[in-house]
Amino acid sequence: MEHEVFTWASLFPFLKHLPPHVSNGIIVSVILLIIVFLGYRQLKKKEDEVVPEPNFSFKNFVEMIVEGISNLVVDSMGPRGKEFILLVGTLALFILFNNLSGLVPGFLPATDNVNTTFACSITVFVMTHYYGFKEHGIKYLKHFTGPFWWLAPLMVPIELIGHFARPLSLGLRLFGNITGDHLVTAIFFGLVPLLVPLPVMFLGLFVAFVQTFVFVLLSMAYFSGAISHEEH
Amino acid sequence: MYMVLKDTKRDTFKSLIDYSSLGLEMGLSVAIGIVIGYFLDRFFKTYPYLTIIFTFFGIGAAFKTIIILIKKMQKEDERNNNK
Repeated sequence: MEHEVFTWASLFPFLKHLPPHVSNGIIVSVILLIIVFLGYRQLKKKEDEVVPEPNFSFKNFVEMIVEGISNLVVDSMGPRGKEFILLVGTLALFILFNNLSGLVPGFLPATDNVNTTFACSITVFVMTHYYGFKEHGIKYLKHFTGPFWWLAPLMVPIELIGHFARPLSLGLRLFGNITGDHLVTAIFFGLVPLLVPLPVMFLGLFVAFVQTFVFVLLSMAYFSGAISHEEH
Repeated sequence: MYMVLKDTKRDTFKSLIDYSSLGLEMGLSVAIGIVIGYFLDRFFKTYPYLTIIFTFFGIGAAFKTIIILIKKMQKEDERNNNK
């Protein structure tokens, strides 16, 4: 007997008719917003406390996330990285929580749809060139012309193609990995629902973290390439 | 997870990401070159010349990613030797 597949989105009347990647993206974003809002209020309330709390609390959890992300950004981009913490952190949290939501039954992760991943990667693409122009002004175009001016007709198309390949590869990699992982988990669940999907789900946990990390690290590399002053 | 790793392992992990992204980016560069050439050809009605030219541009872009990566590798080697 065929019955309707349960999704968490079907519990909300206004999300029911949206495509699954949109509705699940909205749910994950709302969960993230609640975490951020609660964390912000707690941080504000106890700002004057110097001694950390003895046991692991929600405040510690939020602090750990924020500090982890800002350390990661400053580590790999240098002191200039502070300008990018907001953008990179937003992308990291959104992608990580969406990837992890794929492991919860009833959720279809938003990142296993090309639209979501390309939305993220095109954001990175546009912001890269925005920061490039902001840093260098009109001289940013010199990044595309290569070492000599007479090589420009050859180098400009090559550079353009190289720059277009970046967001495409970013989005395609995230989409492919999450879709593949979700599919494998689903197939194993269909074959033997008891205990057999566990190793695959553990692999899914690993993939979720690694793919977030890859996305964030590569976008940081692109950002630092756009604002760097050396010839390349 | 990343925070737990030690410094040397961290570098290895980072370069692993760089090298693993090379393959996808190379393939996509050629594909994008061909697609751009194909659509330009359709626009100017000059099939097949622009497709061929842009395929070579795509291949050039693919090789440029390798060259950039090799330069990065050399820099990292120098930094590791100076330690």
